[in-house]
Amino acid sequence: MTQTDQNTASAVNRMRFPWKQILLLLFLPALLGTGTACLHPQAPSWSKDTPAEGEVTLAMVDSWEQSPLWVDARSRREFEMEHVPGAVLLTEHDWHDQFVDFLDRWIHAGEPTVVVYCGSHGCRASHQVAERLKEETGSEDIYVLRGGWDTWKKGSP
Amino acid sequence: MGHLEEGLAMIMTAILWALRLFLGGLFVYAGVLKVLDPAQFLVDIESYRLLPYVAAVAATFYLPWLEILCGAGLWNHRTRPGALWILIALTVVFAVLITSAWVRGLDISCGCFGVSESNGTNYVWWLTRDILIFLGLAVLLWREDG
Repeated sequence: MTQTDQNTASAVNRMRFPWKQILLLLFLPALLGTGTACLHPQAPSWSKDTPAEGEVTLAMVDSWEQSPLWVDARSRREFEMEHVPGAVLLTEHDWHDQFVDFLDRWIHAGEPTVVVYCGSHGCRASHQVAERLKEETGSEDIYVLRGGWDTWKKGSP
Repeated sequence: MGHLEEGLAMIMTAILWALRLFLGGLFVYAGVLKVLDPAQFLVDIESYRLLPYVAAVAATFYLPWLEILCGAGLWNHRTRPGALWILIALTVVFAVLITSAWVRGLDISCGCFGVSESNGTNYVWWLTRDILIFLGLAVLLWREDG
C-alpha cells in the first residue's frame, strides 16, 4: 500500500462513525444492570410504595402503638406554613441551634422512635438528617418517611 | 521531522495518554461507587425531579455500568471512539440537567427547593467541572486516530 493509500485509509477510518462500538457499549450495561437489579442486596424496589432500608411508610407509622417524634427537615419557611402536628424543625443548615430543641423534646418524651421527613420522594435532606441524628444520639430507632411531606398530606385526614 | 517537532509530538502523546487514563479512571470510579450503593444513586436521580419513579430505578441500574464500560473503553483503541461519543453525550445531558435544576430553584444537594435556606448546591462549580470534562473528552475525540 502506498503512503497515499495509507493516508486515505486513515482519513476514511477517522470519518467512519463508530456505530457498532456505540451499540455494543449501550447494550452491555443493560445486561449488567439487570444482573445488579436481581443480585444486589440493597437494590431499590421497583415499587414506589416499598420502603428502602431505614425508611417507613405512613401505613407502618399508623400501625405503631406509640406515636413517633416527627422531625421536619424542610426549610423554616415551609415548616412555618404547615407541618406535621408536634413536629420538630431540624435542618443541617441550622443544626447547632435546632438540635438542642430536638434533644430536649426527645428526652422529655422518653426517647421515642423518630421519623424524619422532608418535601417528597426526591428529597435527600431527610436521609441526611436521619443519618446525622443516628450518629449524634447513638439511637438506631430513627427512620425516614417514604414520600415525605407529600405523602403525609395525601394520607392525613 | 525536526527535533522540536518530535519533542512536541511526544509531549502531545503523553498528554493524550494521561488524559485518557485520568478521564477513564474518573468515569470508572464514579460508576463503581454507584453500583455499590444503588439506593443512594436513586435518591440522587430523584433529587432532579424529572423522571417517573420506575424510569429513575431503571436509570439507577443502567447508568453506572454505562459509565464503567465507557470509562474503561477509553483505555482501548478498539472501543475508544464509541466510548468518547457516549461520554460526550452524557456530559452534555448532565449539563442540561444541572441547568434545569438551577433554573427551577432546586437544591439538588438535598433534592429540596429553597436554595436560600440551606448551604445550597454550588451550580457554578458543578457546571464548570462538567464543562472541563467535556473539553477533555472533546480533545481526545479530536485527536482520535480512529
